Amino acid sequence: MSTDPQRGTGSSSALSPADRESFFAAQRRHRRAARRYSAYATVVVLVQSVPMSVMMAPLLLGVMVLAVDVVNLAFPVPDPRTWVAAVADSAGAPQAVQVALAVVVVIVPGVLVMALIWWVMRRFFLRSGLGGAVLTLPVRAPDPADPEEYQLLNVVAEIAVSAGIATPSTLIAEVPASNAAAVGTSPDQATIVVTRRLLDEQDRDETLAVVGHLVASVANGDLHIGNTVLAVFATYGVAATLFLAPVDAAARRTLRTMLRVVRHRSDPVQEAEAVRELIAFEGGDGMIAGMVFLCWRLTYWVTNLFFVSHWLVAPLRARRYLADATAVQLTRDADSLGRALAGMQSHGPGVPGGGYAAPYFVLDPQGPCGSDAGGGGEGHDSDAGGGGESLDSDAALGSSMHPSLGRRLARLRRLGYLGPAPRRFSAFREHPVRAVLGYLLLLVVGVPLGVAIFATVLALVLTCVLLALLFLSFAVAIVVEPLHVLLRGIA
Amino acid sequence: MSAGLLVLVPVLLLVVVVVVWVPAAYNGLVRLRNEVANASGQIDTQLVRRHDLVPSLLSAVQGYLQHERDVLDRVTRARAAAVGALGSPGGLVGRVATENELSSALGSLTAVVESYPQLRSSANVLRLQEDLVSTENRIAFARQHHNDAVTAYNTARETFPRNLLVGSFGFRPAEYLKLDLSVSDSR
Repeated sequence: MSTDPQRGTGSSSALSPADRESFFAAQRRHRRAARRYSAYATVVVLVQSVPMSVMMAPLLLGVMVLAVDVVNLAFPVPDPRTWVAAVADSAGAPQAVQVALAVVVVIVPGVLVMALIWWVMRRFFLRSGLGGAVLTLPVRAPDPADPEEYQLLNVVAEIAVSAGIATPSTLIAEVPASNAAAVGTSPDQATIVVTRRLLDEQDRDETLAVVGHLVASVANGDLHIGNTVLAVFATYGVAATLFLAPVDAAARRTLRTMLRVVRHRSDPVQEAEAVRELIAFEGGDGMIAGMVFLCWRLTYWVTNLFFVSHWLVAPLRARRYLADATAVQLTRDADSLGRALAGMQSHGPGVPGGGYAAPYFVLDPQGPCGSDAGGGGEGHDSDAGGGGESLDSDAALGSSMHPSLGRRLARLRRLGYLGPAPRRFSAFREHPVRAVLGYLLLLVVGVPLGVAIFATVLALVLTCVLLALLFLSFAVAIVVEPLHVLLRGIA
Repeated sequence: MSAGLLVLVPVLLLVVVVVVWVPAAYNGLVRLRNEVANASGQIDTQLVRRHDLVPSLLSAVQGYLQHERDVLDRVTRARAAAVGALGSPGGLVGRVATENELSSALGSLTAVVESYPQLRSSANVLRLQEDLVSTENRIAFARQHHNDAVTAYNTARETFPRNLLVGSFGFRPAEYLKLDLSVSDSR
């Protein structure tokens, strides 16, 4: 089989020269897009943290009151509730001051706590390298006596030379899927995980292209960014357990496990299991705990579904395009990468349990499973991969962390992929009358409907926040008030 | 007062340029130049790897290729010449001819091996062929990485305003490497 990396990117593409793009230009474009999307994602996450912070306010204020009461045992400190009441009730205080005070009291503590949790979780992920998530799959070291696995070791070393980085370590995953991932904390500590099925089904050039994508992703710093985004999801998991801790024993137990793992360095697989348990937390036994958790979940789902998830995964998608373009620079072979991606999609990239570490895979591991793969090459035209869930059942809520295969292949064609063009449906071209009528209908019905849905969503979020505030205030008051009275009495 | 400002602002701008931009631009050029040197060293490493691989390949196939002494001798001679040229003063550029000759000889050997069914079914020979293919790829990738690094360095040193620094600090242009090291192309 041909293995010459000096081979050009092909010349028989149907695209005109004006449609072609150099891999350097493509990388610049995707890098700019990734930066822009990262800025949007940061803003969106901050906005989403506001309702979450409001719901956490009673708990945090209760803890603050008790902490001040404890300090009061040694040094006289006025009751903190009297400070707030004094300012809020003062008739002379300007309205702006009262609003600012309310914002500070209700929102800022929650935002600060969530920022602190995110920072700790990010450090934790950077330490343990969420690689443990993938290592929980059945992986093993490659067998040099096996020709395909020996070839893989060579291919990884070749691409590392091309990228000018240290050769990553390599593992084989025995799963019925055609996929691959790069895990670790930094380019120097990266590990390439390739499924055995991929080795059996791809030729040398295609394997080279897939590994090129992973090494490009590592060299571009995607491991760091993936860890940062996953830390955001873990933050919501920790916040949910923290939120429920006063009223739910399961939440307290999960928090203790997580604290133990974070404080004491342990096996990456154990750490990954702890994070998995945290993110997939399904606590909420008892009526109050159940209601509080339901409100939290509803708020999280609704904000994710309508506002957050799309923007949060957008930088990760942009970085997949960037890794594709960089892989073409490393191998000078866009055609093999396009063929490899289409083949993987048709053979089934679904990795059971791999959705937890979706950003690290070449194709969405929540896509079609390999077990029902029958070939057929549908991947060329399909838009598969764009609708699968990632991370866990909640995290990305319908927004895949991977762009659709069709879009990736369309971009690869501009770099030299010779495969069939992804099908693009144009309603105006194929059914112009129906298209015009459809758009008119959308304008007349769709816009008011959209506004109504938006208003309903906002009302739902507000209701959830208020209900959670009510339930949690009640629960916190039952615990905090007697303790507060007792501590003040002692003082 | 305004006259003072008119003098002060350009002076402050000049200070900012000298204190912030010049060191940053200088360090950037040094980093790119070092990447070129590092990439060049990587080519040497891979060429030595190929030299070390040839004896194993020859010993694995020579039992079957008694009638192909010319091809085997050509590879042996080319390998000896390439190893002998390692310390030559011309550096990598000076050794291009001997390395190209070794590529050509290995290409001939590969073509001969393809025509012997016993060799194509030998696991040992297949592994050595895979190693040879991988080594050729690594050399080509190392050359490609070197030339990409040269492009980045030369573009940086020739574009304004960094080109103002290159004369003062001795940043010479780097050379592209033109090696025809592909076995398959040299048959």
